[in-house]
Amino acid sequence: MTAVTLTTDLPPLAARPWWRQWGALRHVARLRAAAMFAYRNTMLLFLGVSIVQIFMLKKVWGALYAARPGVLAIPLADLIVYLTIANLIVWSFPTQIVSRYLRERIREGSVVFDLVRPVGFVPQLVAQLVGTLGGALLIIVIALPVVALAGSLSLPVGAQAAGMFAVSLLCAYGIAGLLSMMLSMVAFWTLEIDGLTMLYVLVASFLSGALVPVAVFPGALRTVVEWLPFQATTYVPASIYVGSLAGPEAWRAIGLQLAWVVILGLAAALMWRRAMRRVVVQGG
Amino acid sequence: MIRVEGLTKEFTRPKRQTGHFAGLRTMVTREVERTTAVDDVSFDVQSGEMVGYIGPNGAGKSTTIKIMTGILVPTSGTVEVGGVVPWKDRQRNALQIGVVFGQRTQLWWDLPLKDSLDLIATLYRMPPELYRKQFDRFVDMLDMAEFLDRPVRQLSLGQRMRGDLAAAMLYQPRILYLDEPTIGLDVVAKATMRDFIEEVNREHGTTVVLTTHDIADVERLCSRVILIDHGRVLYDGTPAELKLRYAPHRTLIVRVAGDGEQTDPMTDADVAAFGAEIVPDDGADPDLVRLRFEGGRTAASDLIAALAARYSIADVSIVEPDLEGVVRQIYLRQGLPE
Amino acid sequence: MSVSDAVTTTPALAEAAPLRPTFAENVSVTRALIKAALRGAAQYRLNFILAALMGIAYQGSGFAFIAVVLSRFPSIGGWTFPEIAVLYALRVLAHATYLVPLYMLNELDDLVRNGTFDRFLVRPLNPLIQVLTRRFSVNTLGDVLTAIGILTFASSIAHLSWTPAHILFAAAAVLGGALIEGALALGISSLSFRFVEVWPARYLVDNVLLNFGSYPLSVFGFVAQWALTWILPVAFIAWVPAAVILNHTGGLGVSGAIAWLAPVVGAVWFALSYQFWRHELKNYTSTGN
Repeated sequence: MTAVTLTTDLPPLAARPWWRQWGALRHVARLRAAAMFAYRNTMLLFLGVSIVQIFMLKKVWGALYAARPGVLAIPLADLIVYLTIANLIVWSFPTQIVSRYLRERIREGSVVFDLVRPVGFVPQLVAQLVGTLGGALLIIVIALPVVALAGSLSLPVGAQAAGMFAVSLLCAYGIAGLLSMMLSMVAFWTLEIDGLTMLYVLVASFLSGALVPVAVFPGALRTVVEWLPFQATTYVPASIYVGSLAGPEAWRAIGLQLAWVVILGLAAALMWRRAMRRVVVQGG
Repeated sequence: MIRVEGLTKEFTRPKRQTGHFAGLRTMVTREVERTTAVDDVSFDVQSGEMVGYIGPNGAGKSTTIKIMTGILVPTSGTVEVGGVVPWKDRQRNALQIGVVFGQRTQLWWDLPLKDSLDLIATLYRMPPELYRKQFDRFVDMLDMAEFLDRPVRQLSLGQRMRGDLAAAMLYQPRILYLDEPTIGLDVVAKATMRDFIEEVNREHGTTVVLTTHDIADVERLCSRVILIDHGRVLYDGTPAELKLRYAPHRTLIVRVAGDGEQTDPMTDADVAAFGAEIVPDDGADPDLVRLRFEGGRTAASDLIAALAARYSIADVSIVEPDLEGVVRQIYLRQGLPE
Repeated sequence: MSVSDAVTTTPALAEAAPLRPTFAENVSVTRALIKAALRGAAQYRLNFILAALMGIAYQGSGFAFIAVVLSRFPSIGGWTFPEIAVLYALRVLAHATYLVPLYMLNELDDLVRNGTFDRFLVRPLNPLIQVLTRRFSVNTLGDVLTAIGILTFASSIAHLSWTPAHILFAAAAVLGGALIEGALALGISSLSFRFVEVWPARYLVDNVLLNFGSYPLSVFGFVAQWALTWILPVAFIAWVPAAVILNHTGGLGVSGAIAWLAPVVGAVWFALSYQFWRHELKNYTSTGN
């Protein structure tokens, strides 16, 4: 894989509370969107891979429904839309990019500045994620016809669903972002981060419901999947989009997403502190 | 041994497009940019010669070496190495050459040095007794005994280069190509390498083609220098001839005995009579005079005698033209002086 | 060029240029290089666990999906879980068989980019063999483990009887599949001599094989099935041989007997790929100054 160097031309942000750094953060987001452009080949490739996967899922699920219809409550047409949306969401997660970004900071040593201003680092990261997503959105819009052909697309079931979808999606990105961050922080403890990242992406996308809706998982496995945060990154927003999660159930799911954001946020902060301590002790 | 005739190598690259969809258009465009790296180069190298192949960065040295070793295929021209056309018969050519690339090792990174040499011996089909003999000899000559068992990735640059040199000459190839072999080495390591190269040339009559930026290497080892720039041969001959032709001047530094009084200062007119001219300097030391004279026409001893007769000389020293200075001038001027 | 020619064209030579290496010599040299690669890899034992996990995850992820959906649905395209397990096992086995010897093809673009490939052209051995024996990657063992695991599992739940005929047929099928995948990998890697960014193409092809190669191709519709049989011979990697083993040849679109041709198809493709490699090698321009 060619190495794309991330250059954050912006010097580390001053130690001001994040709500006052709005202008600088917007700049960072724009920078990151521009960097996304440099990554576009990688993103396009992965989009191609996602499209192939979506096509495969459409056909396989079609065969499954033909063998025994009625196993799932959701009609086949909606399931295909669900799978298409879910896979697009998975594709847009900047897991690799967050991982690279953090590794760069560690290697450059600029992470040391972040020690002093932990609050400054996180908003920067968030701004970067937002910029990344902007780039991803642009690519999706351009590639829409191909995606629609491979899978199936339709508009959300209603205005309320659309609204809830947007909220749920934001939470989903929050959760995925936090998980990526925690994964990258493992880089403080081991060098094998590239292999781990790939492993993570595979396992996470499987457990998130992008291939198989949560309802299909058998027995004990289903319980495990329901309790893990991965389904909150993909299954929940995609289900809201096609309407299989609606009304109070949907709100409950979104509530659970928010709970995950809080839990993971605390876990990430804790991990961060431990990592920084390790850096200091090691004289990093 | 080596015959190069009318060698030309052009690289064509798709012309980089600008503007919208630049990346895509560059991929499908038919416009090309042509760079001529080697332009109608011809020379012959006799068996047992040691040739220095020098030139500024980007002159086409490495490209020529790559063609001669069979790595690249030329655009036009012929090359024959030991009767073999290198790029047409790569494996056959490989058996008769040894190559050392200064910046890239040919040794196996994770294995001990000894294992690499064993593998080379197998690769080049060496009879076991010959390998044993060469192995012992080279370990001694290059002083490698202490790190033979260490993995190559743990060796210092100097140790690795010695290993590479041993590996290149292990199977007694008729021709040895060296591409920047002394780059990054300390003085002692450089001397060891030069001694080794000289020794194998003397003992086996190995033809040596050396490209380097260290002119001292050339001065020390090579009986012949080929200077190339912008893909063309600018000079082909002995180092001495090169100096004589393009830097015929020697410099005599004279310290005039000053006794505090303003004695008769030297003037251009005075020294011209003796076949020399004064080199203007910053005048920092008024007792020091630099005189330039042509070594071919004026003997140093005559000049000193003449000066001593006229002036009170405290000390003299002679500075010879150095090959490096000559070469530097040629690089700077990007061509030979008129 | 014979020895006598060399003597007459360059009379200054005391002895003629060496003769080209013989096949037997090449074989013994290759063997020595393989041993060296294994020795070098033995030092990196610690990476093995992670590498094995990764291989298992990547190749096995498709199997997890199949296992989960077929716990709730009876079949895919008329193939039940034991049957698909056999299909999947054959594919993974073919993949592992290709990967272990040919893994280094994935690193060819690196070798070209940092100029290491130059060295292979000045050594008296086929450069392709030098690339393949440059080092051994423990990552590949993960794929081997996965393959063996899934094959054992599939064999037991499908109640396969391993008669000598079956074993021979399976071996032929696996070999054919490995040759086909190898041919694709070799062809794509050959592009490294001309293009800098080759890994995207490789990754895409790997993914197509992973996504489509593990299912009965009839599921994907007539066009895809035809394309993946005659244009990109994915069908021959696992689907056709599995159909013959399981006696499930309905819907193949080709006669079952054609499955015996898998190794032949593989060999032909591989030979073509090798020709392509040699052709692309002529375009090698080398990097650096």
